[in-house]
Amino acid sequence: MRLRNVGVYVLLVLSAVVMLFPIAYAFSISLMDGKEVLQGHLLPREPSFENYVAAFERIPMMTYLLNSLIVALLVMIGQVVLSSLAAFAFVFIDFKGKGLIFMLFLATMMVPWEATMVPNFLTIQSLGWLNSVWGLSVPFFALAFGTFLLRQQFKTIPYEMYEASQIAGISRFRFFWNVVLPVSKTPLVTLSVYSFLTTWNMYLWPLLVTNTEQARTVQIGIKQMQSNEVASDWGVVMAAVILIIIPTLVLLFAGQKHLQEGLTQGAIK
Amino acid sequence: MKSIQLQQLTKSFGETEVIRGIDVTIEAGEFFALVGPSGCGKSTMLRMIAGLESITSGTLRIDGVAANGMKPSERHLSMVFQNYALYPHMTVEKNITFGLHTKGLTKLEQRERCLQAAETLGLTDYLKRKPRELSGGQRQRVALARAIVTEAPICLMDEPLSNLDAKLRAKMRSEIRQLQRKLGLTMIYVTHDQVEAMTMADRIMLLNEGEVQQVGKPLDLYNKPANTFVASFIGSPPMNLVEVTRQEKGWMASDGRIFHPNALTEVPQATLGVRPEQIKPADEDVTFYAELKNIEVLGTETILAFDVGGNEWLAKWPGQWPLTVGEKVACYVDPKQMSLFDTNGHRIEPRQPKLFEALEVFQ
Ligand SMILES: Nc1ncnc2c1ncn2[C@@H]1O[C@H](COP(=O)(O)OP(=O)(O)OP(=O)(O)O)[C@@H](O)[C@H]1O
Ligand SMILES: [Mg+2]
Repeated sequence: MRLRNVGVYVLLVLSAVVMLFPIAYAFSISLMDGKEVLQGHLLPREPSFENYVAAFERIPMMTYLLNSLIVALLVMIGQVVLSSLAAFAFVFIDFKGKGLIFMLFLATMMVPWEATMVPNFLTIQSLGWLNSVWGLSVPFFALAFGTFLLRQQFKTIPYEMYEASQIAGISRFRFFWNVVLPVSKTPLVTLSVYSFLTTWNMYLWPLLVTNTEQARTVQIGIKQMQSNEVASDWGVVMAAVILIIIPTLVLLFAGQKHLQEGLTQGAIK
Repeated sequence: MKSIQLQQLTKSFGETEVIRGIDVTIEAGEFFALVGPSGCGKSTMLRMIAGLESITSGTLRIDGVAANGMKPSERHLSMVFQNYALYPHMTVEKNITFGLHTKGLTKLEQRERCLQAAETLGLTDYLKRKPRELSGGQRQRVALARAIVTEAPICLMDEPLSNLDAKLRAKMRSEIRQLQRKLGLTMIYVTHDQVEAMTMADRIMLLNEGEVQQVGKPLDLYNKPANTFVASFIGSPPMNLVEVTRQEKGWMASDGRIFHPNALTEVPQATLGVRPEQIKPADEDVTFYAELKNIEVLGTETILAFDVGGNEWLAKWPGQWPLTVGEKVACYVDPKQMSLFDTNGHRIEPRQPKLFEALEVFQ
């Protein structure tokens, strides 16, 4: 039994090393100067943060980061708001064709996003939203997966709670706001983290709808570095990459802590 | 105080009719118990009154005003659910006051009312706790507090005590009853526990398969069950029943035992009913002999089981009887206390009961 545990841990550590190596190496490179990178050192002799300073100075890193942050937050808020409202309707409000509409919702999950890209692009273009945060975020507001996830959660809320609030004369929105959302913290956080990360890492769509330095998000910014003279300076590129990863890591760790709290809270309810 | 009137109320879920034409008036300030076996439509009826379930046909009147189309909140009632339906993330205080703003109360007034309700129900020390930090009985009290804090004149309860243990249930029973009296609530109380109904209610309505079996005072249901269903539902152990046929000498069961119930009727066949406690040890007159199949000595009473016409009958004798299985005992039943039901199960009224009672007084 002990032996097996040891085996499992060895395997886990090995895969963690394999997984983490590129990131660790990128971090390491980001601390080297150009010569050292070419010498193929694994660890920097004289670690310095000059590359980071350069990343901000030589490319508009700050603009990229800010754009990405705004877009990711917008999409996150849009998705959480719309998904939770839709899920609330599916669970607590009776209307004709509820089952059918929900099936339709789910069916849209089967349609790959790429298939709707062209019509979406045309729409955004005719709205004049190219190179704007709206063009980058609004098309993602409706999320069938989010609606599905939250609907599953809302269904675990005893219906009597809704009925009790109706008898007390509490409005639907107040019930949604004061009861449904607070008791659904865990999936709401899950969905938020998921929304933020997917948007943060999005590549194809921003590439399509942005073409100015001012509007670009980080992922595109990095890609654009290739065409610049910066591309040969791997230290700077890696510094930028690390800068992009940091927010996702922060969010993951913060989210994880919250998720665990939420889970244990649910367990003793 | 408000009265509630049900006029030919029905409810169907799709094709199946679960409430079939209920007519009853619940008086203002009355404790009205709704009993019946599982699935008979008690909850459905209560929910129709609350406005949580639509009314298929018929009229519901609250204080004389047709209420069919009213929203639940417009009916000025409160409801206690079987699982309490407390908000798990709110403190007891918040649970009690949540929704009071709709009554146009200021924060201060809300707090005052909450404290008052909490005091009535002994919750003052728990106001800052969350529901999951309370025992079942305390949660139950929070649910009650939430109902009374609204000061709604009508209170509906759906099996509020079924999640509690027997001892606590007995305690809460009298608490709810006292509360109802004190506040003058019109109470509709659903339960499948006939003891609860008998001990708490001013009047009971017994439902079966969506149809009213009998409405009346607890003792009326007990003493004069309208049909065999009521007879076998109310009372524990329930009324003993046996099929009998009319003979010259009296009413005979299939095993040859003869009974002389005090009833005047021409029907050839009937069902005879006797309450267990009305079967007494015989002094002089013997109604029948019973060969004991089982004996349970419970301290204050002894339950005897024996066969009558192929049915197991139970008799409840006060005191402790040192009897053995197989023994033959002589039993006596006062003819006036035998009930007779026709082949449809409907009660056959005894012969001029008023006159008999009057004569007895003069003797
Ligand atoms: N939403 C519904 N759709 C279809 N049938 C229903 C619905 N709600 C209740 N029923 C049916 O109506 C009948 C009465 O149900 P109801 O819940 O009123 O019973 P009850 O008397 O409260 O029983 P219990 O003592 O078990 O709570 C049952 O046969 C039930 O299956
Ligand atoms: Mg029920």
